[in-house]
Amino acid sequence: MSPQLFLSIIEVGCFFSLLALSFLLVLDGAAVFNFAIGPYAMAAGLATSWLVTRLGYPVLAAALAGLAIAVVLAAVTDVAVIRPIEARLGGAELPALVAVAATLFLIEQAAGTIFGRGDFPGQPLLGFEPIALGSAAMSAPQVTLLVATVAVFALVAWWLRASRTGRMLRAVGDNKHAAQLLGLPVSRIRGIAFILSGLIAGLAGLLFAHKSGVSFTSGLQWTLWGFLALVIGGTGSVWAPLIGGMLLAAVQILSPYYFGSAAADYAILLVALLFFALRPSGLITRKVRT
Amino acid sequence: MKRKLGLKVGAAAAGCTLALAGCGGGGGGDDTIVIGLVEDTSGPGAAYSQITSAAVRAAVDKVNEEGGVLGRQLEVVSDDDSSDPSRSPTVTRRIIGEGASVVMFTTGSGAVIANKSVMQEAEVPGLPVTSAATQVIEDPDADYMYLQAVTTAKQGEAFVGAFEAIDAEKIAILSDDTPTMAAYNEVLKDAIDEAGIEIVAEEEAATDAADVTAQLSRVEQAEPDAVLVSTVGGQIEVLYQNTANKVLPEDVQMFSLSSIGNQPQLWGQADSGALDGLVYVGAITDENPRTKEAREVMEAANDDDYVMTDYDAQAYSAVKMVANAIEETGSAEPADVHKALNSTSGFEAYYGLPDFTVSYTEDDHDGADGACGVVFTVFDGSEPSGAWDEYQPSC
Repeated sequence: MSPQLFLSIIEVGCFFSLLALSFLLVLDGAAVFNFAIGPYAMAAGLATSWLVTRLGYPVLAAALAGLAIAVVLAAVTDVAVIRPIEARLGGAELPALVAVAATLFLIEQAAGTIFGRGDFPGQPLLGFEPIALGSAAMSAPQVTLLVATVAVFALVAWWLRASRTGRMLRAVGDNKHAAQLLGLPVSRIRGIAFILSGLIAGLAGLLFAHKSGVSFTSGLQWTLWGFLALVIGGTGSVWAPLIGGMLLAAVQILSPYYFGSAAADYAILLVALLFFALRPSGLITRKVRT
Repeated sequence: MKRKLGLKVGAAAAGCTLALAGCGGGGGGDDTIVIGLVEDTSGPGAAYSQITSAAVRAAVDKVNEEGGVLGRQLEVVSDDDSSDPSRSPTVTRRIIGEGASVVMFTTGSGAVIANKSVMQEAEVPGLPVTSAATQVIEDPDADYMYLQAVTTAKQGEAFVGAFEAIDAEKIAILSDDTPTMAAYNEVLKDAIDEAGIEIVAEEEAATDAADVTAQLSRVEQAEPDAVLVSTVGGQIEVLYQNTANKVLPEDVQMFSLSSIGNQPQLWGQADSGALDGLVYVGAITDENPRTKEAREVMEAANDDDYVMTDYDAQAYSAVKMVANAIEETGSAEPADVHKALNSTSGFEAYYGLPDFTVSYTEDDHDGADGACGVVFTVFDGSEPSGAWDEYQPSC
């Protein structure tokens, strides 16, 4: 088997993992499956590329603007879409889910209108010669994505364990009602979860766009990948999305290699069905003290 | 009483609407000739449709600047169908209702095919500007549809010529999972099989695939002499080219379809050196003096960053051909334009090699007079550098 396949699994797995982590943070902080995460990633990648290629911005400034857009979109989704619906309907989950799905398409079409409906190239944050690893080579954007993924997971794990806000997020995730009874600032924690989620999704889109570019329609597929990675990995640990993302990437890349092109879709469908049916909580589940 | 009055008003309004619609085929008002344009500004074909539509409008402006046709100005009446075959016929009917003498299509081939019966019923000629799908002109309901691009079957013959020119005996095909490419590849494979060239690998990936290293690794193991990337363009095309650059040996000749040449934004997405040496079926070369004319018009109509594509030249050519037909028949009535197009012979197209012409007869609406509407074009670095030296099809 080609070493390039392993590098591809790592690269794609990093992207899936970041998206899944973004899902996990909102799920913990607000108990919502935020399907607009893919469009946050798309918006960050698209805005960055648009600012660089059309307006001549330096890449770093454009990237910061792209991340800011993703964060704002996440915050607006929480404040202007999900909270009002939950307040009006007493916390019913389905209407919020439908509203988030509508937000996904709204962001996609808005991005198409603002930035254009063509494909945009990803913008590498760092530029250096590919690093040779035997017969394969790792390009600068691949290395950047890998390093960023490791750093993000380590930082989020540390934040959840060591910081007061992080511990409160875990408490809210464990039991929202108990957290409320204990007087924890659930609303503020939830806002932080959305903002952090937007930031991580934005970073993921920004760093993965180099692979084949980004367009206004990328968001939906990216949402599905992140969701599937979370389903596989589970919600029991901050590291679960990383495991889920890597496994999903391995299935997606190795199945067509061994069984032909058509196998990828079937393999992913099979894995998803198996997890939904046999292990709906994913590989890593949380143990809550009662 | 009120109800009766309401019914009368409704009936009157309906009558007026029908009367207006009935007058729709008259070719516009006294001062204008309506050119219908069904485009995709919000769907999957938006990227290329908008390029082509802009070129149609620029060509119409040029014709108007030069005095119009029959002393009347051309007016583009357009609408968006999102390349949606179920929505497109309604859009086309509305445009025909505005008095279109001819309807041009820059939308997806599937949507164009869905409009055949609409054009047949309205007896208005339809001209897909860039579509190469032969189904557009196959019965039933094909009397009013005209193809000007080189059909997929003729492109297949051209590819065989190119493979033979470089002594490629083993070919691999990389494609996406769209129905459009499935239909295209069937025609292409027939031509390759008939020529006795072996297809040693066929791989496919979704248009939004995250990675295609597996597909390219399998292709590498099949040891092809040449690889044809056959996609609708966009991200999957870039992904294939970037990955091929990493996985395949340097001496494997890469080929692609027109998509890579007609979507300049893709060139910047490719890794450094990934497109170098790639040969694709383009349609423009400055060896054709009419293409140079089209280029000058398009450059004047666009900003400094403009890069001419095949779509621009094909759009310019389509507008000029229609203008010629109307001028020759002396009428903008759809029936007369239809007759004039049917007797178009040897129209010197604004794309293709210098000898390339377009002709139609009542029984044959495949306009390309041979495969020399195709110009095999080669990339030097990250941009096309011109016609490929190794082989060009002849007419």
